Amino acid sequence: MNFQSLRRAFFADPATATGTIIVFCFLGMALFGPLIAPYSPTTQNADLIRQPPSFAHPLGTDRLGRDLLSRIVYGARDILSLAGGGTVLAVILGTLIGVSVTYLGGWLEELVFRLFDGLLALPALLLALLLLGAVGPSRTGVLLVIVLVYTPIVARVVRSVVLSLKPRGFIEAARMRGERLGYILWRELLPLVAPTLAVEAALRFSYAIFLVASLGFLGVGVQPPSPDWGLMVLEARNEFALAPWSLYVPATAIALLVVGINLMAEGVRRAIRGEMAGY
Amino acid sequence: MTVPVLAVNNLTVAYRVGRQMLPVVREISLTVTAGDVLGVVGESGSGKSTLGLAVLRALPAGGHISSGQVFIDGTDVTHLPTSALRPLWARSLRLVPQNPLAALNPTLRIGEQLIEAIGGDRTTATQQALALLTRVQIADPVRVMRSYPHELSGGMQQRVMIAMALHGEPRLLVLDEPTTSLDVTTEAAVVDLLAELIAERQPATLFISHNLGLVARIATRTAVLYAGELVELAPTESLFQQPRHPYTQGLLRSLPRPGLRYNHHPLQPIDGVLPAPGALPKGCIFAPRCALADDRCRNERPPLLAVNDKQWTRCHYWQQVTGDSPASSPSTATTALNGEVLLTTTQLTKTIPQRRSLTDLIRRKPPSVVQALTSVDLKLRRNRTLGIVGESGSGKTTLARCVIGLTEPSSGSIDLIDVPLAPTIQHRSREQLRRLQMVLQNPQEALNPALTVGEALIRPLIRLGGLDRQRAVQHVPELLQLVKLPISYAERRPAQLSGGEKQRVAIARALAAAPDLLLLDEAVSALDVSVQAAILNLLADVKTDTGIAYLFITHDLAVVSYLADDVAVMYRGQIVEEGPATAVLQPPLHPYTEALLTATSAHGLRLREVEEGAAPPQHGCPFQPRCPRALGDICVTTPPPWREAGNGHRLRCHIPLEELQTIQQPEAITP
Repeated sequence: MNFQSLRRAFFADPATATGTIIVFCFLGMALFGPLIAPYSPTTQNADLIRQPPSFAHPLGTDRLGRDLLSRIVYGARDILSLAGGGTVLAVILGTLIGVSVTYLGGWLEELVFRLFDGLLALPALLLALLLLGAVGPSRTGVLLVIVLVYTPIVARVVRSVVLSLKPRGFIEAARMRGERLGYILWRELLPLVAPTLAVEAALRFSYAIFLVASLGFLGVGVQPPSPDWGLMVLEARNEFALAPWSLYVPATAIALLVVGINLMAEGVRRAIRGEMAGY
Repeated sequence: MTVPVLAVNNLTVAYRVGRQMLPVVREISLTVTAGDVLGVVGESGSGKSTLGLAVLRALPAGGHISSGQVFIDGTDVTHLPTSALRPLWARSLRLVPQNPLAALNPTLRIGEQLIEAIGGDRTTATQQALALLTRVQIADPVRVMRSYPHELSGGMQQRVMIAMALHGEPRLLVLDEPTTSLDVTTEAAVVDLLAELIAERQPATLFISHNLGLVARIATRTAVLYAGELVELAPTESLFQQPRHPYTQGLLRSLPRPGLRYNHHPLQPIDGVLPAPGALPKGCIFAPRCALADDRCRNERPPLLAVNDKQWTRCHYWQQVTGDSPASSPSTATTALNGEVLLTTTQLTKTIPQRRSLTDLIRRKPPSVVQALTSVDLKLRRNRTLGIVGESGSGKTTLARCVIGLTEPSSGSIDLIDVPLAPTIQHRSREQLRRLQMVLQNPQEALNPALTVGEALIRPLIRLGGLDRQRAVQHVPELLQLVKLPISYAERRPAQLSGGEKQRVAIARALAAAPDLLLLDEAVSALDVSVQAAILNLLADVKTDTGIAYLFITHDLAVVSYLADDVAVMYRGQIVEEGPATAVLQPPLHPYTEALLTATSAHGLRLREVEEGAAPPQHGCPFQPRCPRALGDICVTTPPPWREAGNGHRLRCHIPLEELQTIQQPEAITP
């Protein structure tokens, strides 16, 4: 799959294009936050508490007079870096484990995947709360949670692909010419797992956004005064009657980003299915 | 003149592919009268199945009759709505599909499905179903009625399908590769039955098959399809003796049959490939592959010309198409009889333990085992081809996998030039790996879709040939030429190759590091005859040039008699007969060999059918339950001894050699 076909896939259909634009807007916010945000996200202003949206504050202010737009812009950094970083780590780890352990098979495969089944049996949020309760709320903690929750899922998806590839003739041919394990895993198997992996990664990313926001909302994620979206929802909840916008703004941001990523993932999926038709 | 049951007039069928309509059957006209069996032959992509489904008005979604008409008993059914077709389907149009297991509902008992197909009053229908099952020679119809489809063997399933197709008064019967998924011995019995039933019920029959021998046996007339067009239509006998289209001639010359050998009378495959449905040549569709083609053929599409009142051909120069006289080009190459022994297996045995149920585990019952291989002794010399034949489940593939090291044998040893081989690949030296290579059955899975053909060919050169990458790359054109593929194919990915081309690449890959012994596991079975012929000749050429040895595994005796120097016949994991090919096959002595060899003939020896999954006999001859020549008690109680027939030819049977020689049915051996 080359760059052109990927670009075409992203912009061919309006839904995918919309998703891509949304995701890129948030990415832009995260990267160029200080240039876009009109105020500091943490500066409090007692004179301007709970201001409805206005020209000076397009998305209004919260109960401490902080500018909500600035907080959303800076918050994009946290949520994208945590969810993105966690997803990347989980995908890498899940792929490494999934490809190698499944190919080797035997009792090791049995052990690893039964363990993963055990992890998957616990609800993600419960697992997150347990872990963060143990290590204390922190960014690293959140990252760890994402890796722990999503690695088994990625590994399972990879496993299903590898299982179908393992008995194929070309893998046996590689064994018959004494290829090293590394060659079989990374040159023969990985390219065939990659398309499925791309779709899975996009999907995991959108779930990871949710997870980070949920942890923030439960107060075990990123701590105040950081402009975390989930945390903002939590703080605004009590103010709903006085300043409903302060709840709507972060909630909408979360929803928009998740929808955007999902639309994009759907586009990737369709593009890859087209590519895979020849396989 | 009576109205034909089926009349097809200028029929064109197209499939929707994306936004395009690709015609896969073009302007075909034919008629079939009651009792007539029209064989429809052609290679994959010729549109023969589409034709069969179109005349039943049962095309899959996306398929569409774009012009022409289909008449059933004089009624135009081309545009009948489904509601009007339904009674027709129920009453008179029947299909026997290729894969009976896919066509039967796995959740319903056979009886239910038959009763539903017959319809009407349940009690009467049940009686009719029982009668039908008896008619298709099912020994225990009451039990079969209560069985689920998966509990029956493939042959039984197909008999049920035939029973289902025969209830009431079938007018038109379409048999779409009805025996392709069956073993030759089962196929023989099912075809016998079909021939008998057609003669009895007199439906108009379309017998669709890629198997020319089978069509020759059952069809009164034969239609040859090429790339969706009818290129020749003739009485079967005339077609086989005096084909009037170069394609038909090419097919016949590609077909391995008695009398043809790789070293004298080689096969003559058809050059080139089938045109893609979207990119047909302007003139005659066969012109690009035809030796007779000239400018007229390339520009002017020939009409269907009458050779006589029964034979038609779509060729401008049909007068020049001569009868089938295989060019004789005796090869000077002689095969070394006493070459160095390359491979020896001694008492090679493989047992596969079955999973135990929980109750058996608790009761400490030992796991039951399947004997995949029982004490197999083989010797294979340099520059020889050893053909291993047998039905599915005879252990042929297990044998090859044990030799190559993909499966670990339970006991016994494998020696490569007097050096014992480790049981698995991981423990074999690189040099041993280089000497032994294998081509697997399924060309579709042989190549990694993510890697180019070039990359696939470079790897063995690097890993086993000891070349660096640069030098390996230089060798790729040579390898492609060896298997007669264009050099430009190095850049291609497997998705851009046809099945035959993929198998050539797989063979080139296996040959890349110059092995001493190549194992071929049904390597040509999935290919069309013209492609198969090309690959068989290729293998023969490589052997002459390099002195390589082949272990050639197949169920197809014609292919073995064409290519093999020695033959070993396997039944349920044991060798029952072995020796030089000519001695083993002409005439066959062991009843099992005889049954395999005469399966394609109408008067061949037929085996007794046993139940699916029936346990092999504990004592005596393993073949005895199916043996039509079993002597009685001695076969049940005592394992048969090896009988030497001289010249390295030996077999395992209680019947004395002299008697085996006299009970042959010689007229059945050469069809």
